Parts: sequence; structure tokens; C-alpha cells
Amino acid sequence: MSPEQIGMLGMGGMLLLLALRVPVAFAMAIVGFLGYAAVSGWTAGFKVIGMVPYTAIATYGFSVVPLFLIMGSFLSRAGMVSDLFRMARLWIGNIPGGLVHATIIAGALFGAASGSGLASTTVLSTVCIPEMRKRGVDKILACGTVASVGPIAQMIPPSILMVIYCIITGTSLGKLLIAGILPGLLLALGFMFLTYLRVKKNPGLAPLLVEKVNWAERFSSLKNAWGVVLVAVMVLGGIYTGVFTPIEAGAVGACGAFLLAITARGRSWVGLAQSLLDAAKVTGGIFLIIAGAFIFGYFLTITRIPTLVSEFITGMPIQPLGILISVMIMYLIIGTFVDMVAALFITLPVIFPAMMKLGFDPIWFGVLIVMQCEIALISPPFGLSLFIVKGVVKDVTLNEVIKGIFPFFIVDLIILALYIAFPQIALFLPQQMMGK
Amino acid sequence: MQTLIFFEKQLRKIERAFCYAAAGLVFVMIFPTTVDVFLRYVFNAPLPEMFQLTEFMMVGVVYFAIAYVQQLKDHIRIEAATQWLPPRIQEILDIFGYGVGFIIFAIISWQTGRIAWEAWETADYTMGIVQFPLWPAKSILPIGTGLLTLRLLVDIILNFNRITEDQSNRKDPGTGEE
Repeated sequence: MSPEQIGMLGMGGMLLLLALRVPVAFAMAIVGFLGYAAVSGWTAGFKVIGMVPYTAIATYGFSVVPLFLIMGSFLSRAGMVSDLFRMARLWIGNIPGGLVHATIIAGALFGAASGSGLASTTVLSTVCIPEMRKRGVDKILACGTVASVGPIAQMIPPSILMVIYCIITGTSLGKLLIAGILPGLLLALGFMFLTYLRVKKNPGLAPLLVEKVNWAERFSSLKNAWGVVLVAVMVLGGIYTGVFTPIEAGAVGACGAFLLAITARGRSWVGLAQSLLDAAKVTGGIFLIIAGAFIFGYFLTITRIPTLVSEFITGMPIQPLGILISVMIMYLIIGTFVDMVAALFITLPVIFPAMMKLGFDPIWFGVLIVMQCEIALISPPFGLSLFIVKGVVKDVTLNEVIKGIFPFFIVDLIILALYIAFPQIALFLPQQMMGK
Repeated sequence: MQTLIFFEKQLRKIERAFCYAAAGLVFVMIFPTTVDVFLRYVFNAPLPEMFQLTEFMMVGVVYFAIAYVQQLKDHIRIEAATQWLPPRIQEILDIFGYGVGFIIFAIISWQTGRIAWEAWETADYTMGIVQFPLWPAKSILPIGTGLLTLRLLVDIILNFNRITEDQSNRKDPGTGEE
């Protein structure tokens, strides 16, 4: 058999194993090992499987993942989300749909300290949904808002997903993180505009707050939110100005978050230990897949499959934009059924080289991919964000959450189309950075 | 069976302890880079080779945590194609998945163990101004993947027992619909 044929067989075999519920890391490692051995012999196969699990992980840049994870986790333990929500409520709670807007703002601001959409959905569910419902916001609207706003955290830097994209594709992490700022803000604005229209049409969804707030209270609420702002400014500002690399920003941010968490009211050592344990678990889970993906990648490279696929895709008699839109539709379908982190490891090694050959910008494509993951998290019936909200809110059904996200889902699709039509939304800030 | 349950209980504790070690490393990992940044900007004197320590810690975080992740069945897998199947078939498929993992991680712990031993025998060091021995970091792999291999074997046996017990319960008149 030629290496190409073994490669095709390996791809097919891996997809079969995945369909049969074999964990992604196990499937990639075993197919990568057997395939490599089939092409280059057992000695070479054993050598790869002895070396790669170490070399794939012992990489300085990867430490950014646990650092980003604990940064967000420490800050939420410090009660940051309630502080942010309270601040947003005092400032704009009195406008129509005020509490929904406050939730979106708190979610976007917390996104600047948290790198995980799911973690963000979890805290927003526990903090914002009870407050909204207590003040008469429609249950379906409250749940739909939180399920859709939480995932914005992975577009607004820091972002674990962006780190994963950069690990797979070799794109510059600093630039991609900065590129996420404007698209993330655009998402938040889009959600607020939607809420404004909906509440205007149907004021019963979110009754006006009759809360007397004076300016002293408003300004004093800013005091409690300074921690997140400080960490976010340090991390994003540091990366943007080139003072910090993303890893240094992660370490300094985590250190700052730790100091805030141990000085916060209601500090809990058990809670902090739990944060660290969770970060270790998530890191272990993601990086075992990375080790498997590296083994599989070695195999794929010697079979020349990525080159063949990219030659096939670029050789199609379709406009590059047409190909890009087909790829986007493919990811929308994949994201409906499959965990996107797993999907990225499987698809990007073959899709990304083709996109680059067609002349698309790696950072812009990265923003599009993160947006796809955003949509996948709320895509019924398997979107994880839906299940988190349903898990936290006891008296809501999955169908109600799905009903709640539907308008936001449409906004997500419109914004994805805007990113495709106007690459500058993603590329403006990183290009400013390149000028430095 | 009693021995297995006892053994599994002890294994749980060990895996949890290892994951706590990984959590400790996540915490410690904050500091080499922070101290390096601080010294560089304040005293203009960066610490040489600090990144090596972070790399070693990264290996520890990942491989000390993976067995506990399997204990919790948290390794990412794709369930969309199989979740409509009856639970029993799903449990059989799980045995298959753990079996695949058992085989590959048995090979990985054997091969990484061989490489860790080589690093010890040849006294392999990192290159640079400060030289660190490589064997401690490389020894983490056979330990962590070995523990995962053991956990997968235990999970296979437990799942197998559960399935055969279900089978015998079903034959028991009065409980099953058959």
C-alpha cells in the first residue's frame, strides 16, 4: 500500500473509532501509532510514541492554558461576576430591558478575565438568572441570554480556544487574542440591540425597574469592579503594547487574580483549591488530546494527506470565497453534533493549509473558527451551554432554553456573516499592533 | 470481586492524590514567569532558563491529572452517533473504547519508561546556561500514563461485571420484562 492509501485508511479508521465513542485522545494516538508504524516500520513507530508524548507537552507556550483557566476561576471565586452585574445594573438598570443589558455587559466584561465560555456560562447562570427572575424578567429570556452571552468569553481575550487554534495551526497567539476584542464587543452590542428591539415590542418580557439610584451609589459600584478591569487592562494592554508575551500576561494575570481572591470578602481556601483542581483536570483532558493529535499529525504528515487535500480543495473550480463559505457551513453542521474542541483537532490539520493556500488570513480565519465554536455551544440539541443553564436552573426544560437562545442564535449567524464580509472587524487591531 | 472493589477504592484515592499534585503544580507555575517578568522590568535582570521549569511543570500537570480525568469519565468523546443506542450497547462500546486506550497507553508507558531510563543512564541534561537533568520530568510520563493504563483496565473489568450482572438479573423471574 502507498503511504497515501494508508493515510486514507487511517483517517477512515479514526472517524470510525470516534463514532464508536472511543475518547478522542485514545483514538488519535492509536491510529497515529499504527499508521506511522505501517508506513515507516515498527522501530520508527515505537520511537515516535516514546518521544512525542513528552515533546508535545513540554512546551513553554502551552502553560498559558492552565494560567488563563485559573485567572478566570480565581476572579469568579472573588465574587467578580456579582460585582460586575451590580455595577451594570446600577448604571443602566433603569432603561427598558435593563437587567438583560446588565447581564450582557457583565458577561462581556467577565470575558476579558475568563478564557472559557463554559465556565463563564456557569457563573453567569448562578449569579444573573436568579436576579433577573426576581425582578420579573421572563424566564425563557433570562435563560436564553445567559446561555448565549457566556460563550462570548472565548471570543474576548483571554481565550483557551484561541490557544488551541494557535497550537494546531502555528498562528501568532498574541495577534489572535487582540483580534478577538472587536468581534467580541460587536457580539455583545448585537445582543443588546436585539434585546432593545424585543423589549420595546413586548415590554412584558422585562418590566422596567423602579429603583432609585443616586450617582454616589453608581460611582461606588465601580470600586468593586476595579479588580477585573485591572487584570484585563494588564493582560490585554500588556499583550497589545508588546510589554508581555501571552504567557507572561497569563502568569501575571493569574498572580493578580490570586491576590484579589485571597483578599476578597468570603474567601475560601477550599474554593481556591477546587479552582486549581478543576484547572488541572481541564488541562489534563485537553493536553492528552494534544499529545494524541501530535502523534496523529506525525503520521498524517508522512502520508502527505494534508497536502493532497489542500491541492484538491484549491483545485476546485469555485471562487475562494465560495470555498470558505462551504467550509463555514460544514463547521456549522459539525458543531451541531460534535464537540468543537475535538472537531478542531481532527479537521484543522487538513482544512487550515488549504485555507492558507487560498490566500485567507490565518488570524481572520481563527476568529471565524472561534465564532463557529461560539455558535456550536448553543446549537440544539447538544450545545453544552444549553445544558449548563438547564443544570443550574432547576425549573427550566431544555426546550425552554432552546426557545430562549433562538433569537440570539440568529444574531450569531448574522454576525458571523458580518465577519466574513468585513475582515477588518477582526484585523484592524492586530494590524495596528503589527505597525509597532 | 471484593478484592477488586477494595483495590478500586484505593486506586481512586491515589488518582485523586496525583491530581492534587497536578493542581499544586498549576499554582506553582504562576511564579517562575511572574518572577522573571518582575526581575526583568524592575531590575533588568531576567532569570536564565526559567522557562525550562515551566515546561517540566506542564508535563506534571498533564500526566498527573489524566488518570483522575478517566476516573470521572471526563475524557472528551463524541456521543452524537451512539447516544440513541440502548444503555447496555453503550456500556459494551465503552469497554471497547477503554480497551483501545488500554492498549495504546500500555505501549506509551512502556516506551516512555524506556526513554526515561535512557535519560537517567546517559545523564541527559537540558542545554543552556543553567542545566537541568531531564530524567525527573521524563519519569513523570511512565508514572502518569501507567496509572491511566491501570485505571482503564479496572474500568474494563467493572463495566464487564456490570453487564454480566444485568444479564443474570434479567434471567431472574419477576424482575425482567423478558
